Amino acid sequence: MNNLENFDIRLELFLKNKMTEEEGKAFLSELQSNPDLRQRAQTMAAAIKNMKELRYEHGQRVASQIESLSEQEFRKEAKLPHKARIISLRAFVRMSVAACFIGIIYFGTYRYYIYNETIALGNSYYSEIPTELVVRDADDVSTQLAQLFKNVKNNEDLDNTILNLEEKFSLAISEDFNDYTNYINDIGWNLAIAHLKDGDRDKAIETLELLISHSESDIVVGKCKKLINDIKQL
Amino acid sequence: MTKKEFNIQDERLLGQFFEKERSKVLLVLRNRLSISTEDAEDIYQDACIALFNNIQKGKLKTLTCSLSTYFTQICLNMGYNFVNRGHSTTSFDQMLDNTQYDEYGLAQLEAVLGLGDGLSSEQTKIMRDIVQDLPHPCEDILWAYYGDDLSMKEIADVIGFNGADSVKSKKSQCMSKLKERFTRIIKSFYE
Repeated sequence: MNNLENFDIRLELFLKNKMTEEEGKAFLSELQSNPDLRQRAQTMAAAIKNMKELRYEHGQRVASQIESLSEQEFRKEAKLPHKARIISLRAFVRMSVAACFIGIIYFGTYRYYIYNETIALGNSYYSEIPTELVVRDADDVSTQLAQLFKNVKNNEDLDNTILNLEEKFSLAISEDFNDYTNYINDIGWNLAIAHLKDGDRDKAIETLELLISHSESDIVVGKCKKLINDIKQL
Repeated sequence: MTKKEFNIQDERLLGQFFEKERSKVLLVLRNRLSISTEDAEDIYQDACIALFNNIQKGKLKTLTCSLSTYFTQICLNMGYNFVNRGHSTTSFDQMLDNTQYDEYGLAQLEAVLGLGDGLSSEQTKIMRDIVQDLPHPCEDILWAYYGDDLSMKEIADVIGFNGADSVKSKKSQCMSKLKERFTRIIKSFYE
């Protein structure tokens, strides 16, 4: 540290009133006897005094503006969060974890409840249209469908059964007459029930709506509408 | 703080004030009390509301220091309370009332300015223009040190200097230049 740096520190101690009375007097008499140091001290004192005054005046302008504001306007100007202050990140994380936990418990339980209710609805509606009667002929198509309907009835291999039924249902509702056209009601109904048993309400409704728009059977259309209504009430 | 900042238009005054105070408070709370940025942000927001309430209640009518110094001290007091949470029995209002400032004493300043032939009020006013128009980086260093009361290390962090010693050395050079400029202007003023 050079002499000037050392002098600046001593001057600050004096200006901040951190010297004893004796130290202060000795320091002032040192300045009196040394014009160069005195000039430096006076320059610094003048600079600090002006900075203080400028800061003070600036602060008064700021305070005067704040005084004229409502809390809402003040928050906007100071870029503070509206109304309640922002909670700390730690508190936010803690609350978020708690909320997620509650959410998992609540919605997890709720989803499980809906899932079970959906499956129960599928089971209860399965017998609404007796699918055994649709196997009219012992050809390949009817044998295949009988097996798929049996799977739906017994909740067996539902994933593959749904894929198969979706494929056949899209053929059944197509404009071109094909092997599945005559089975449209049986395929559509079984597919909707399969979706329900799989816990997928949206797919079940989608299938039933397609069936309603393509079926020529009032009984089937009526059953589909009732089932959609029951699903939506879950 | 530059001349431009002091002459800032009223509509930008508050925004500029709080922007600057926020940076300063976050730095001071981190450096002096090791408070995380997130917690310092909370303290800053609480201090803003405390400042607003005190101004509305007229408590700052007799304020002798600058608003910036007062605000920083509120933040520091709240910071100390945060660090000592659970061990402090000081209420929030007491904490604000106990606010103390490490300011330069007016009597001491006047004592130095009155030495020798003394500086006239005109000469002192010349300095007012000079401190608002300091060259870089003296402007940053001198205002941060004397105006904002930041430590050398904090100034080094703010202006990107390599440690407190570099700032200390540069500050001393800045004071020498300031003295030269001041002396030169005063001489030409009286010639």
